Parts: sequence; C-alpha cells; structure tokens
Amino acid sequence: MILFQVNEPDVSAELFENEVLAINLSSGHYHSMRFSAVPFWLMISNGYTTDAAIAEIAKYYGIEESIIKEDFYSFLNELIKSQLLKERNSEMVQEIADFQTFCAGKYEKPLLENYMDMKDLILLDPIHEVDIIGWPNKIKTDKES
Amino acid sequence: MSSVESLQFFFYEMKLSFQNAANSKCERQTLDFSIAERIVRIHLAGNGLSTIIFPAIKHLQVYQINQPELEIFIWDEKSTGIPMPNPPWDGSQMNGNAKFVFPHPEMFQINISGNREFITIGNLSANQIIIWIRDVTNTMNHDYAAPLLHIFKKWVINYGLGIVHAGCVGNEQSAVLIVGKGGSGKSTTSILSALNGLYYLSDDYTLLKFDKKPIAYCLYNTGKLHSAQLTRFPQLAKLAINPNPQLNEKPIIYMQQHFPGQIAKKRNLEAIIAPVVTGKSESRLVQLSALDTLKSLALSTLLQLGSEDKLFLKKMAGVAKNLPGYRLELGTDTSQITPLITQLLNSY
Repeated sequence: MILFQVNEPDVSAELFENEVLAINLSSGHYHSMRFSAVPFWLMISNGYTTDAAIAEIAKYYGIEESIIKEDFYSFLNELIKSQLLKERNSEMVQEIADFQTFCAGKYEKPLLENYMDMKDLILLDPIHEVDIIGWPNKIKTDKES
Repeated sequence: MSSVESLQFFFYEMKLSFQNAANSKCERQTLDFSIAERIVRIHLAGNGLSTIIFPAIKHLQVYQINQPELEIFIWDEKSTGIPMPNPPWDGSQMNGNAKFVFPHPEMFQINISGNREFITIGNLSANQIIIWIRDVTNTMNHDYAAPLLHIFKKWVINYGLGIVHAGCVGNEQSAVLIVGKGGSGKSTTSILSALNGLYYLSDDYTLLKFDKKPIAYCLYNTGKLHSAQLTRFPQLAKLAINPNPQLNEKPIIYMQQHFPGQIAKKRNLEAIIAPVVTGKSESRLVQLSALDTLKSLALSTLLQLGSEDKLFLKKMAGVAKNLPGYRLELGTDTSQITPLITQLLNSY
C-alpha cells in the first residue's frame, strides 16, 4: 500500500476554515478541497493508508465503507494527477490527523476544484531548480526550436 | 574535493574576485541599510551599479559602524574587467535560466537568470553573499524597482519575516495591505493614496513581520505604473524613469526621491484590502471572508514569488485570520478611493 505526503516543495497546502487550499507552484494551478475531501486530505497527507482513511470517514459519517470507497479512490487519483501528493518518504512516521471535526453532518462526496487560469500570476522571470550535474542550457525560444 | 568543498572554494575565489574588481578604476561604493531593523551592508564595484541598486532602498540607509548582519558584495564584469572565477560546474553552459540550491541550505545558493546572467553565492553561516553580474547594462526595470529581491526573500525567513506580493499604505500609526494579482489595481491604489496624503510603503512587494499583530515594512520605495496609466497621473509622468523602454516594462517612480515625506518605513498592519476594478462610478469597501482574503493574498504571492519557507502559506493564513479583509470596488471616480482607505485606517 503506497503512503503519501504533500508534494513539497512544489505544493503548499493549508487547511483554512472548512477548506483546504493547495497551491502548486510548479504548475501554477490552485486547488480547493471541500466536504469529505478535507478529512481525507488531512489523513492521507499525514501518512494514513487509503483504506484506513476511508474506514475512519465511514465510521464518523456512520455509513458503509463500500458505499464511499469509489469516491475516495477516484478523488485520490485526481490528487495524484494534479501532483498534490507524492509517495511518502519511508523515514517519515505517520502523524495524527485532527480530522474528526470535519466529518460532521451529512456525508457529501469529496470535492476538488481546480483553478488552472493562474499562469498570469507566475513570476515574469521563472527560475527552475536543477542539480549541479544537470546545469541547464539556455531555454530555447519558439524561434530557436 | 567534495562538492561542498569545491563550492566553498568557489565562494572564496568569488570574494577575491570582488576585491580585485573593487581595486579596479571603476566606481566603488559601500552603504549600510536597515532592513526590518537589521543592518545590511552592500558593497558595489562597477560602473552604473549604484544607480540600479541604491535608489529603491535609499530610504533605509543608515550610518552604521557596527558589524552588519548581512554583507552583500556585487561586481560587474563588463566595467571592471574582472571575470567570474571558474565555477565548479561546466562554465560553457552559463546561459541557463536556473537556480541551484545546494543541499546544505545554510551555505550556498546560486542563481542564473536568463539573459541578465548573474550568479549569487551565499555563505549564510558567514552572513555573506557575493553576486557576479556579467554586464550591468543588461538589466530590467524590475532590477531597479526591486533590487536584490531574490536575496532578501530568502534572508528574511530566518527572522520571522516574509515578502508578500502586495501594496501597502498607511496613516501615522496603521497600514492596510493592498493585495491581488497584477492588473487588479494594487499599484494605482497605492500610488494614488500616497499622492492624496497617505503614507506609502509599497505598491508591489511588502515586507511583513508575521506576529499576531503583523507589522509592515517599506522595503522598496518604488512605484510602478504602466505607461498608459501614467497619463492619468501627469504629476508622476514627468518623474518616472524607464531604463528599458524597448521592453515594454512599467516605468518606475522613486517615491523617496520625489515624495520623501510620504514614505513610512514601518506601520502596524490593521486590514487587508483587495481592489477590484468595477467600471461603476462609485467606490466602496465590502467585507471579505477570511478565506477570500487569504486567497487574494496568498495566490499571487506564492505564484509570483514562490517561497523557500515551508510555513509561508500557514503564516499568511495567520495574517488573514487575524485581520479583517475587504474588497475595494474601484469606481471610475478615483477621488473616492483615498477617503475610503483613510476612513478605514482611522477606525483603528
């Protein structure tokens, strides 16, 4: 079972009120997570297994795991596709996620809203990280390529 | 030699090269500045460097005899004739648009930036940073408006500070942060407010102390407006400079030079406002949720500036939680804007 962590340093994520705000500095996209996405994110990004997170959510909402399982596997795929999560460093221990208060009320499917039109906010003079071996060549312009 | 040792060796060679450049017949200058109450000493060697680096931070100049907390050494190869020493990487690939952060974060950071070609190497344990610039005439307006931003952005993290993408204006005690993406009216609101009597701290990059009661510092005294916008401010149009008119960049106004009494170095931050151009005649302030306030502040800050501070978003969230946020609907009657901000400031 793969464990995950926030895809730092590319991604900054923060729980604010009832929403998780995740900003992917690499893609220039921003993502908003709401409803049952919040407790799931809190657990999965802190090293819970996917099944354990689903079981906790089912328990707190008082519904069958089998009913919601598909929702969260599909949600997890979206998180991975958006590069918000990466495989957890094996040296990291699981942290306790304070997710319970976000499982209140009627169950609603995890919601991930993606905002892709943020490119105009990105620095005019972008800087890319490389290692010392891979010192890059000049980026080719359309004319040069 | 390990890669750490080779970079350390390179650092000392860079320092020697700076000394050689400083001993050349070119301009040489050393000034001290107080940045968020910490002394930074900047040494320049090379013709034309001082006109790029110093005017934007002139308001922070101090006359200091103690040891500074950070020393920055900058030289220009073209005017001094002193090249960069051989780097511990393949020098033939110098035209990259890249940044290299050495695995030991306290020691070295190197940047190469596009056509402007400069390298920054920092020995943060010695509190020294050395910058080589191939040709100082290859600079952009951004270098005049926000010099050394890439250094300050990293350095201030150690002191519980951060640079946010926001304007800032204030009265005698308090200030409001003006947030939003480019084109939202940040610069216009900030500069207009200063022209109408409020104190000016920034139109683009504000230095913040992330306390429960956050403090705003004026890092750069520059204001920038698109040429088209300048026609609305004839008193500014004649003061603006445009070092690179061919690049279609925003002309710059050094507020300290022309409006020295309007610069505030430091203020208590009391509110965050996000301007929106509405096209209506009237301007008004509408309360924003804390979440929308955070989005207005954090998205443009992180996507524009990035951050090496893992907790930066959390710190901005703290500011958005503790301060009231407002949407400032900018009407076509600009005379209403400053009184609205003044009224808000005076309520604290």
